[in-house]
Amino acid sequence: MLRTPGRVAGVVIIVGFAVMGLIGPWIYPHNLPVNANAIYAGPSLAHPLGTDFEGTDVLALLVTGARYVLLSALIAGLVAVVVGTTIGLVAGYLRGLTDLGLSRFTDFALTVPGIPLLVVLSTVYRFTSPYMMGVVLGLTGWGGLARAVRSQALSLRERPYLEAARGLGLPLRHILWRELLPNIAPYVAMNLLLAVIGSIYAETGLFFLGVLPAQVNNWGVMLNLAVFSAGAIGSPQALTYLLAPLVSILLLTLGIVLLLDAVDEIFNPRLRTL
Amino acid sequence: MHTSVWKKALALAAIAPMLLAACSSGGKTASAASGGIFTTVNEAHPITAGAPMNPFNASGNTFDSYDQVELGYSEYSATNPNATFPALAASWSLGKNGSLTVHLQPKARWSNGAPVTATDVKDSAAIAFTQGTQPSNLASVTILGKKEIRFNTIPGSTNQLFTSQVLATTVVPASVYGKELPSNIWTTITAATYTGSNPTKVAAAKKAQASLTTLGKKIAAFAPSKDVSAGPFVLARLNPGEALLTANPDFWARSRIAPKEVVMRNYTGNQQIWNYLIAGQLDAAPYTAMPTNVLHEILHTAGNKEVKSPAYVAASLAFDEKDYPYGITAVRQALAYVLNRKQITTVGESVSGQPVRYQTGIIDAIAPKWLSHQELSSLNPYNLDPAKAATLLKSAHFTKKGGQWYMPNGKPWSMSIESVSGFSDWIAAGKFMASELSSFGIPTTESIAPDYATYLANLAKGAYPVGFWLTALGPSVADAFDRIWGPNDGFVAVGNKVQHSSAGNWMNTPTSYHLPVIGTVQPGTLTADLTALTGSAAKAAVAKLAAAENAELPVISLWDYVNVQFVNDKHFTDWPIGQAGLLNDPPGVWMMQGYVHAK
Repeated sequence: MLRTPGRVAGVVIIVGFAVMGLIGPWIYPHNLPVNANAIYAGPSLAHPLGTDFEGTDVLALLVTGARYVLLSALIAGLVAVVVGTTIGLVAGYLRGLTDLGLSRFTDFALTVPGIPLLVVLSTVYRFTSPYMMGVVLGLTGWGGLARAVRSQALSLRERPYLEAARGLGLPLRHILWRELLPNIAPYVAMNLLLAVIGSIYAETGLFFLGVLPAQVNNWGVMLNLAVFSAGAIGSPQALTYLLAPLVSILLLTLGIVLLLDAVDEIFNPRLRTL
Repeated sequence: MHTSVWKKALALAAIAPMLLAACSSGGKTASAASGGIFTTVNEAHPITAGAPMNPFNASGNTFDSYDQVELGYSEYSATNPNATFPALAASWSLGKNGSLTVHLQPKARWSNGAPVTATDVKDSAAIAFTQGTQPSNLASVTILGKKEIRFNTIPGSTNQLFTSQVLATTVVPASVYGKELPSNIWTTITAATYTGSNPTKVAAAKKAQASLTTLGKKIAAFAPSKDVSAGPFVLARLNPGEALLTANPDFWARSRIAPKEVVMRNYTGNQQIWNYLIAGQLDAAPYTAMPTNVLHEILHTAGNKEVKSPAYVAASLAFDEKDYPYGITAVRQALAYVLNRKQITTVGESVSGQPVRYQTGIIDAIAPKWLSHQELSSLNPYNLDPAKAATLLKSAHFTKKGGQWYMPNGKPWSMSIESVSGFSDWIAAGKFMASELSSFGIPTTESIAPDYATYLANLAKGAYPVGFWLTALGPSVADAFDRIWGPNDGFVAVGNKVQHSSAGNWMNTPTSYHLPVIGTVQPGTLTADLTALTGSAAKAAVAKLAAAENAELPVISLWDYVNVQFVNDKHFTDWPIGQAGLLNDPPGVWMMQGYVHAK
């Protein structure tokens, strides 16, 4: 991986954002200072990315808002991968009635529209916690992965090494997690990263559209306020307020895509270049 | 705030009067040169494709002063709230018994060629009862002639707002809406307006009121097959992006109307209106909240002009006092000391807001007209003073530990300020207040409702302990106080009586206050009485109510709005600049008054 600078850049970007999410909220005070005399101030030494509609430092908003975005996206990715992989593996390996039941359940999950569901849920729950946001996004996003993993499991279960495992009388748990899973791990790992990207877009998109209560500081809320309250689309004064979260989302996506490339190469030696 | 939610509220509010004799058709007489397309946005609400062409529907696709017209439009006079621009009513006169006789425009016709008659007005008055928008003491309507009609008051009742309330009636064609009304509608109305104490009749009144409510819902849902307009325009077509209205050849003052067509652009929020304005696409735009940077961009566009006029409305923070701890007066007073109104206005409404100086329930601009210098100077200004706020909270047994305030019940105190999606000024101000309160030790977040209708519905359900609320609606002071101690606080005036109930009551203030010097004040009753008071009696009532608001703070007023509108000189000219009252009405009224000519 180290031979390819692009992939190193991907890792650096992700580590950078992870550090931002981890320690950012500790660098800045819980209540970021406001200054009504410095509304939409331009970039300066004191405010490298300018200020927002209440004179708050945009860099501080960006850094402190990163945790919600990253944490919820990571949780969403993990939930989708764990649920999707488990259901896919069990359905594909066991076949029969179990497969039938789990496949129909998966089909049902695929028909549940995730974003409208979140909008409906937001009327009773306010999603101030990234954990709940991540869980809901994950629980609405595992269907596609389960179908794909099931197909892989159906194919792999006929391989000789799995027939041997069954012949040896190894328990189901061992076969699923020790024999079957490692062979689809690269696919699952890539899906984890793709799910994380999808979740970032979904949550920032929902906050940007204003369909979720803007109670928390995150990049989607920044985008919403920049466009709908600050008029950043038509006014250059508030441009940094708009660009800061936008560029961050693009950079983070770029980092994940580059890392995805590296992960693919790690798990698939044929892709490695000399 | 959206383009003019407050204007809609103003229009719905009954307008106050003092005295009125007669009024005749006014306005400029010059004939308007025939012009092109007049582009604007509907100030009442965005376009909802599929909604009926019905002015009584909350999202109805009719447009006030264009294809929907009233008997008259308020002049928004601070001294005579009954002053009204004629529209379908050419003139009117008050009778000795309080009745109002209205003479319709002799040439008024519907867009289908039929004349506008007293029957149309009578049916429209009946519909007003089903929508709850009728004058509060209207008893019946008598047709005196084809173009002459009399509005009769409940015997013994007094309502200084009667004239303006009658003239605010939206008139619809009896040929379209008449079949929606049962033949015994006026019998039902008579039963519903009974104000005596006979138990049988009281029971019948309740039944009749329920019947009117049910009928009101049916009428609001009614979808006419085509637009029949008595206004200067008729709806030709509508899609989710815009509505097209063409000039009504049967309009009674056709020569005054310059545009051949009106395009009503749709919008989803203020930002879309800003973009239209920055692109120079609107000939006129109603009040729209915006930050200063956007104002500068709009004024850079060729032809755009900013037009300012006074607005009788303020943005306030309202409380549901049944929610602990907001029923404690010291808590509300402490919050008033913590909130920096000047900075909140700078953040939220720098373009069209003035920080409130006096917490009186009426806008600062008219406060000196109602309150003496001595009365004004005796009011608490609630200047920024966090130390005073802390003292007040401690006196109410609140404690502060680790930078966080705890309530007397031992629980940590946190707040949520409710706002509305798309109301950029409320959102920005709410966020700023949340920052201020959090820094003071009350962790506060802002929560944003998806739309104004949902917000109002949730307010009515008592779902929000603290939220934004429009107050000081005028120019009538009775209307202004009605926003605090009116239907939203459970006080409903029926005839000359005021009833207090839990229905619709989400503010839950006490029914009486004991104020130092003044003594006991019953604000709901006094507010209702205000509609019947004039002169020094009215001033005395206003002084008591202002003192009650100042001492008890059922709402904390943040800023008074200034009506900032925009016009563009590219296609049309002769705007009613300097006509403060007229500018508060929609552009169709400007045209009816002879303004807006093609270039």
